[in-house]
Amino acid sequence: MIPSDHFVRFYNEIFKQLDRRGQADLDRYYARVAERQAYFALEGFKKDGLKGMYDYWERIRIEENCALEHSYDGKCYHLKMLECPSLSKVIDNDAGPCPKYCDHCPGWVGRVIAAAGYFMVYDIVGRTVPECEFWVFKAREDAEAKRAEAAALHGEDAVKTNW
Amino acid sequence: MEKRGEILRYESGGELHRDFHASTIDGANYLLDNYGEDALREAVSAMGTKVYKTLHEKLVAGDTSELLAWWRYYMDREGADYALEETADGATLTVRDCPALKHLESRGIPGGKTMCRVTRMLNEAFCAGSPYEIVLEETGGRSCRQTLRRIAK
Repeated sequence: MIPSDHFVRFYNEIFKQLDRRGQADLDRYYARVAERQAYFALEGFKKDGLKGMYDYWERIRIEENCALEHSYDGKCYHLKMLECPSLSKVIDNDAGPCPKYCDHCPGWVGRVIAAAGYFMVYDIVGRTVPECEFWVFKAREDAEAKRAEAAALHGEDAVKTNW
Repeated sequence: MEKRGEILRYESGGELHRDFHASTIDGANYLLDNYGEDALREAVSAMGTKVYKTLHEKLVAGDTSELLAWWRYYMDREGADYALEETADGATLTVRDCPALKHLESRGIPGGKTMCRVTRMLNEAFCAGSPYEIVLEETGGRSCRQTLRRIAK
């Protein structure tokens, strides 16, 4: 058994291998992860909308020991990861991190959010720093404004969307 | 929430996100389905020899201490029903109720036996180039026996 605590280091090895095969291989895997994560999250996102997203990541905050802040209002769900336990473990790792490790998160989150009918803007911030931030909007124009703002701050490559 | 222990390289604390067991088997099945057995073996081998570098290198040097500590620590942490008995030439880990298989069943997620396949590959990687082998026998339901024994002087 790979302990559940150490899954992310296995994930990291899968990403390294797929990255060597090519970006299309990584993208196909993100789609598969999204399909599986939808099993745990999509019903709540569809049924309860932005509150459903808050409820899902509140459980993740506790179970994955995340230092994060999150909130929602009538227009937007916002999550700010202050110290990502996943990337922290992957960095503290004798096998070393996959340079694209962070990309899996917007890769699957964006797809599940899109399936629920919402618009995601994900700011990776930096791929060697265990911090990130994302917003989910009901309205695409609000998401586009946030995307431009985040890209001006951290660069186009750090900002991912799901449309 | 994770530190370097006196024996263990990675000593995790805090809450557990057991749904990562589902992620493990899904990642393993993805590699198997799309790229074949060698692709899965490559990823698991990297876990066994690079991620768990210190555990592996100790086994190669004939030292079982980190493997035994790892078994004990993570079986306890995952709430397994198990026994670990040291023997003259190794140890026997008897898992009466595997916590990963138990969680997957509780979530209605099929395909848990892929975890047993991954465990066999991980054990092979741990022992590669060492004087030890680990034989995993599935003993019915969610149970197994993993026997660590010295096969060379």
